[in-house]
Amino acid sequence: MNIRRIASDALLSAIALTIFIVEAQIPLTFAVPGIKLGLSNIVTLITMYLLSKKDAGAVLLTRIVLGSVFSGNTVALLYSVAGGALAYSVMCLSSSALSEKQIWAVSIFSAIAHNMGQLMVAALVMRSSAVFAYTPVLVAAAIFVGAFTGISAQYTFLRLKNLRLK
Amino acid sequence: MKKVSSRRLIIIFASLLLVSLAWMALQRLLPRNALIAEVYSDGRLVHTVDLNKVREPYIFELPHNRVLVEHGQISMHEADCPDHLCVKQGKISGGAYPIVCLPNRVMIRITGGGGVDAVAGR
Repeated sequence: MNIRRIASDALLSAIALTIFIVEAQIPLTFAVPGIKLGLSNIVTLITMYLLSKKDAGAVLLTRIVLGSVFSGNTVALLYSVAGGALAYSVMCLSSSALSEKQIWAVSIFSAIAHNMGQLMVAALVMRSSAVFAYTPVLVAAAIFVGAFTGISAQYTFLRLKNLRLK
Repeated sequence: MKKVSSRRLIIIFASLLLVSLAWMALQRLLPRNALIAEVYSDGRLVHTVDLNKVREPYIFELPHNRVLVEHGQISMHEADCPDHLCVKQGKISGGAYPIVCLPNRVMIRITGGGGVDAVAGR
C-alpha cells in the first residue's frame, strides 16, 4: 500500500465521517423509526469505484467505528456493523456484475441489504420475529434512499474518475 | 461476465417496490376487531391486555419505559433511550407494525384479528 493510497483512504474517510456527523444533526423523522438517507454511503460507493473494494471496506469500517464514537451512540454500533457488513458484501458482488454506469443499482442493492441486516439484528436483540413486519416498509425505503445516494455517487464518480488517487 | 441491462434492473426495482407498497396497503385495509396488546421486555411477555375492555387509561411501568394503555389504543408514553423513536411513533390501535424500543429491548404489539397480521406477526 503506497502513501498516496493511504492518504486517499484517510481523505475519503474524513469526508464520509463529516457527512455522517452532519446528517445525524438534521432531525429527519420519517413515519417509520430507523429510516435515514445514509448519505455517507455515497463516499463508500465512490471509493469502491475510484480505488478498490478493499479501500471501500476500510473507509466504511473507519466511518462506522469513528462515527459511533463521535456521535456517542454506541448502542447503534451493533446495527451499523451488521447492516454495513451485509451492505458491503452485496456491494462487492453486485458491482462485479454491473458496469460503472450502474452504480445507482449497486447502491439500491446494498441499501436493501443494509436494512435487512439491521432488521435481523433487531430480531435477534428483541428475540422476536415480529419486527419482520417492517420488511416491506424497509425495502421500499431502501429503494428510494438507495436510488438517491446511488445517483449522487454515479454523477460524482463520473466527474472524479480521472483523479489519480491510487 | 455478461452485464445486466439497466432496463432489466429498473424492472426488478419497480416490481420489488410495487410488491412492498401493495403489502403495506393490504395491512392497512385489514379489519381490526380483536385488540389484544402484548408488552415484551427482553423477549419475555410481561403484560397482556384486551384494549377493548380498558375503561380507565393507566400506565404500565417497566424499568426504562412507561407504557400508556387506553381504550382501543396503546402507546409508549416515556422512554429513557437517547432517540425516543418509540415515543414518537405515537399510539397504535392495530396493524402489523409493533412499537419497538431497541435500546431497552421493549416491544409492544397488537395480536389477534387473524388474517395477514397473524401470519406476519409470528
